[in-house]
Amino acid sequence: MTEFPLLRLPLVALKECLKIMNPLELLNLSMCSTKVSKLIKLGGTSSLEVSYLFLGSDTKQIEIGTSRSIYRFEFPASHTIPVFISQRTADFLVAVSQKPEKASFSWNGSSLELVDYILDTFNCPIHSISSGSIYPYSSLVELTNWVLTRQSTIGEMSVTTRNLDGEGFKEILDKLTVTEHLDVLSKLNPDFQYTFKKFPRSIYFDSPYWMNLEQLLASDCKSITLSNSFFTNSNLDAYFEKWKNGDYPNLKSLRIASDRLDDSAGIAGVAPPVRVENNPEMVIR
Amino acid sequence: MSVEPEVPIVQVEEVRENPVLYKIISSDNHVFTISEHAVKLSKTLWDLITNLGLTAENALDNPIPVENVNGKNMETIVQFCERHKYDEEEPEYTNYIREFVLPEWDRQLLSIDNEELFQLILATNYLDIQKLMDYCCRVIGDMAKDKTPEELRIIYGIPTDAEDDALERSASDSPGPSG
Repeated sequence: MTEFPLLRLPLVALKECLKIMNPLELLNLSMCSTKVSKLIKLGGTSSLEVSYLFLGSDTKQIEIGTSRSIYRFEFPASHTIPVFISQRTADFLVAVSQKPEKASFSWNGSSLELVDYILDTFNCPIHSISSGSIYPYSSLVELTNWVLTRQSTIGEMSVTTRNLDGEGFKEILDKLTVTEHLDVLSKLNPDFQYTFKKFPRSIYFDSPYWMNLEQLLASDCKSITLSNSFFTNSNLDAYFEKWKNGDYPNLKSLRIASDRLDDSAGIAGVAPPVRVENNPEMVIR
Repeated sequence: MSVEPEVPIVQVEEVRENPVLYKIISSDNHVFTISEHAVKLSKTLWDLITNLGLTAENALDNPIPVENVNGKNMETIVQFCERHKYDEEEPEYTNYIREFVLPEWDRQLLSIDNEELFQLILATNYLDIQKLMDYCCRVIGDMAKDKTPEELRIIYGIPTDAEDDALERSASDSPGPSG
């Protein structure tokens, strides 16, 4: 069978062909030659969502998300990187019931070098970084510094690093603006204080003793989840008062758990116990 | 017992609807008849028909010459357009990687030699038929499935960096038009 002269196609057809290929096929194609690697971005790859998950010193994952699938490259592996492909469901969650397909990709460098290669080839920003709990703080700094060499904002960041240095973390939040979602599951010293210039659209903080009422009232998030917080009934009264006055038009979800909530007193005029509507066994705390 | 000849659905619809028909002449002088709904899938042909002021009355007396498309490709194109003439208009898509499956009928139609496929794409590009372009590109994109870079280089005829450099050097060494 004769070869198909891909590079002789009219530009409009070449673009369509590239748009039809999935990220793994595009990456394999990019490895054919420098000339081809420079053409890959014509396939509209700039809107792909690339995530880097540093789960441990020798466990890293790179995820490339399209509108329908997620391609996950798993390290450690030398030369042949296993790639797991999962389909997204209609509500944008990955279908976990199906066994993911496994493909592979040949790469001789480190995981971070591969992320760099992917971002350069696809001409897209890094969408999300995530650090595991056994990830040392120094590596988080290294990772965020690497992000800052490419961009000053990031869609999502998840920080679960133990022994997070408060001052250093403040510096990271000051330099790197998180726009979509921020997870902070690390324990911070009680004297840690941070004022967001601009809140991400969604936050999930565990043990946010450092987040005071003033901060909560200043938030304009779409989704707020705070577990193990210090908020009291009167704090929540103040928040709901502002909400009833139309102060948080973007708010879609609010979940606050606190040991300081008093089950015997009401919140925002609702007598205790306040229960979840579709699960009466669950008491909102 | 005599068996009734099977009439293709397309023809039944044509008779029932009494459609406007147009004549197209390929570069090698083959003549094709195509219905109005089908020809509208080609932006180039429909613009031409509109600009020439062809109507139901004079359409068949004024065949449209298409110099850039031969009879073989035009036959495939007419078949495709007649097949898809009543398809719902596809929603506008954004500049994003697209995932869709090629229908079996179209896969059969486009099961052709790579050189023929290349020529068909050039014709499709000239006639500006978005859906056929999408489908041809799906066939080309599918060639990349589960292939290594080395296999892709062979399938798509992609020169290595060294070959590209050599080509560039020989191009710069060769005398220009005035030399």
